[in-house]
Amino acid sequence: MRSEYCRAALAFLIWAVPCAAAPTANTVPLHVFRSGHISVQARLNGQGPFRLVLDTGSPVTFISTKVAKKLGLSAGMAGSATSATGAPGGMFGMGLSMNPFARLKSVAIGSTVAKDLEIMVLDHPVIDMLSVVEGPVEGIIGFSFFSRFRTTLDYAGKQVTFSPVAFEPPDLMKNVFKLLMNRGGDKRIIAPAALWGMSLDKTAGRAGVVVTQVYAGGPAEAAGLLAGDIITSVDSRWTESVLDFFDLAATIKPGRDVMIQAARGGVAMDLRVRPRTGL
Amino acid sequence: MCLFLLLAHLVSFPTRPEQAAYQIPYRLTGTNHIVLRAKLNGSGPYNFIMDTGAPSLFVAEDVAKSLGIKPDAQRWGVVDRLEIEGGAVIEKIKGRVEGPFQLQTMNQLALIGVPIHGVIGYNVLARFRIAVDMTQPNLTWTRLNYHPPPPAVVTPADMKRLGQPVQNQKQLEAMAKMATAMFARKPQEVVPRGFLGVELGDATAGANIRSVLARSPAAEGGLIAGDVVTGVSTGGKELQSVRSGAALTALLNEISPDEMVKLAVNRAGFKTEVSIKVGKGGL
Repeated sequence: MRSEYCRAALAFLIWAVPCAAAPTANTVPLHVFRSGHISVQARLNGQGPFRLVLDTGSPVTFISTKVAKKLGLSAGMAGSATSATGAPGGMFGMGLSMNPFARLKSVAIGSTVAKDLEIMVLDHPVIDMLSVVEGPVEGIIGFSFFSRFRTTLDYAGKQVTFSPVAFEPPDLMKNVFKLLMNRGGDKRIIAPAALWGMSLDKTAGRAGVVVTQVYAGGPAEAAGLLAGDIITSVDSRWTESVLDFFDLAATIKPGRDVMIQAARGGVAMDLRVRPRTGL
Repeated sequence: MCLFLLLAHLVSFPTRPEQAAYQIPYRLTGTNHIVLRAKLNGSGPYNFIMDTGAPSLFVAEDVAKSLGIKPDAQRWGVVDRLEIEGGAVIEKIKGRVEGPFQLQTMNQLALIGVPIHGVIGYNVLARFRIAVDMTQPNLTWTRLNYHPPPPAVVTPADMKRLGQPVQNQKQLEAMAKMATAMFARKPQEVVPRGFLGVELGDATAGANIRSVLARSPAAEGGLIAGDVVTGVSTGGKELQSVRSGAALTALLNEISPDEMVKLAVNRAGFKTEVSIKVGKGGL
């Protein structure tokens, strides 16, 4: 009985220890090119390391056709007649009829790993230029990788830190397809998430939005707002237009206090408003 | 977006003690870009993509022109004051006065929902330690009191040496232009939701009106506190029944300013109907 218990406890420990140790921060060197680009060393499917540019402006993670070939990524290519060995005429070295998408089992930067990552195989011209000047660079680490982590960039300290967070990047291709197929001409309505009890307008050429009406019995009145007040920001977010304000109000749930920065007769003031359930 | 300017000289990276931390709001676009807002010389706000793949600040030509920022022969201009929403301010910052073709493409395809006026790149970003965490509403930028060396710049000789990739870049631009022409569309019209002026309470069968704000559209339509809304009709459509405040809100979240809303109401046990012309700019 006792040994039974011990065995269970031991099993629990073995199971629990790796779990408890899971989300740790991992700091790796960040190389800053003279061009202002930054790069990290990454292992792809356990091979490498390869030098990849870390690019917050790239939704996609790219690897070069050379590295794709090295990793044996040939899936998804229709016309493989064109070789991947720097064939003439182009960035799509594998031939234009190919499907540039592929999946990597793992992308690892130090101890930070993203599993089963969709990537694009493409010889990005800027990466090629960088390679000419700085030596081999094999692709781009984009949003699909770094958004899975709290990513802390430190150019001055030449390091980057990744800590896992619970974020699954939205499906880019699905979104872009939806955006492209939506041919416009339609309208989008911004709905506040709570009742504020006031009306707003914009005076062209003047900062902020003006409160045109404060409704008796509402949250704005309770906060001390008056018609004629100019609201310049809410919780440090600028409200330069009525749509700005609505965009922000769409994220503010009933019952939550927010700080309004306003001006009355040229005098700045801070007011606390608590919007309520309503519309 | 990976952009390129070539290099001039090698430099060292001295680190100095850090200063303030800023909470920088951002918007994640449908294209998975991180968009920040900034005022240039007190005007704006303008929308910028935060882009470590860009060697510097980029400002679209029309924005620079409207602000009187005059670029030099190499297209560099100086922004006297760049204020990023959340409080980070940089003075006398150099920027490229040019909208990279990627931006033009995104704007013409109306991919992002807001116009993009430029890119915030290396010469701004390197002054901060930047924490990017998509589970948080803000980025954290900590000022490092560090002045990054200017990015190196491409010379015609470099261009020659670069060879094929430069051709490929041109090819990429041509392809982007073609795709843009095929898919170009007008940006969506964005309007604030119409305003009623009611506070909702809990109810078991229907939406309970806890209070009606004085002189609001709902008050003028004749709705009173204690009414229970059991059905909604908008735009002359068939009445849809509602069983909760949340259901009422969900239906009315699609209503434009100045539209008419018809509500089926249970008032002290009697059934009645209330018509409201919803307001504009109220919330």
